Amino acid sequence: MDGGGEGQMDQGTDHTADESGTLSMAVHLEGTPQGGDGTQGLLTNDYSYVLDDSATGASANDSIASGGDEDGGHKDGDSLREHVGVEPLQEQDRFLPIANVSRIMKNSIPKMAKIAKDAKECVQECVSEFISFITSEASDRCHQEKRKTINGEDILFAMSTLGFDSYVEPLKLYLQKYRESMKGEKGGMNTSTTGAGDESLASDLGADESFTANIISTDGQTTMTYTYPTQVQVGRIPVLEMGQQLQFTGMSS
Amino acid sequence: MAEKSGTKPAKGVVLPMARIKTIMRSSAEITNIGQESVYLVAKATELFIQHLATEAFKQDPETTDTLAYGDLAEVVNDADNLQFLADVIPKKIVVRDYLRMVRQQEEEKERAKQQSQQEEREDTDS
Repeated sequence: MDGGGEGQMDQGTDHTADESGTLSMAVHLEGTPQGGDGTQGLLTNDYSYVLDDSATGASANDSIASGGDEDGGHKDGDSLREHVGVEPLQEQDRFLPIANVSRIMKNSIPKMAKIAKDAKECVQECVSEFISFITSEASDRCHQEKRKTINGEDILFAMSTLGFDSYVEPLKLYLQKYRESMKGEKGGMNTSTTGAGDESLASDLGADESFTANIISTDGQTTMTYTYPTQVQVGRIPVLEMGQQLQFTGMSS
Repeated sequence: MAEKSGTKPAKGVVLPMARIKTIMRSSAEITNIGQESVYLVAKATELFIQHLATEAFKQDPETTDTLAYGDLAEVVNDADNLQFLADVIPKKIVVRDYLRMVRQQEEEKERAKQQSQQEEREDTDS
């Protein structure tokens, strides 16, 4: 570490300052963490800390002067990972909103259980990593087959290749419903278009636990209601309980 | 079709599709991303979060009811298909231990350097 002054961790990820004052931090031991190269990884000025050079006991008790953690800790700062050939994203664009993430988490565990803040942030990062992981695998396949657009099949294939084949069946079902609902839209639905043009479906903090999609076909008679539990047991075969049976009565006029 | 009312998420998605698409775009050198694939990734992400949360919560002994960072680290450690997250969730260590590790590494490097220097000298001598 640098003698005396500020010790900067390169490429560290999360860290917490314990109430007791013990400094525990997650570190990467990639190469030598000199920290003198100007980048502070995830540690912005708010998170820099001072290490006593006389090591051992004393420094272990230093606590980090951590900056405000208001909106979930991932505020300003440099980009974590620079993807080769692509512009690094701003901090806020790199992650999904923590409110959405933590809500999904909360719905998965018993009601009275709590989630540590750094756990939420951690999942937030994992999720972005997951998305990147899947996408790059799918994109590779696309390139191999000389296609320019990633489609649903590519994603499903990527899931299977990367060890998430337990997700594939539920996803196929979701995809099927999605396609059906899209087809319905193209038939000239007069309900609000939530399909092609609208990509940003706002997060919804007040909604109830289950998803409900109501579909009314052009003739106004067919209503397909899907109500499925928020939680899908991935370890087992899909638990998608549909509220009603699907009924098509002539989608086209 | 799915009505986008004020309270109900359309098509049952609770994550912002645009943001997901942004992340996807920055992940690979791709020209186009189909709408279906964004949707699938969104659903997959939900499943993933649920999976992580459930598994992590199981790590807790019956006594605590808080899902903590360490639980997540355990889950990632144990699962094969989550190895890509090994760098994202490294296990936390205390600074003391870390410094010790660093010092050890540096000492080893020094030793290795000295050894190779010595070998060079021997080579030139002979």
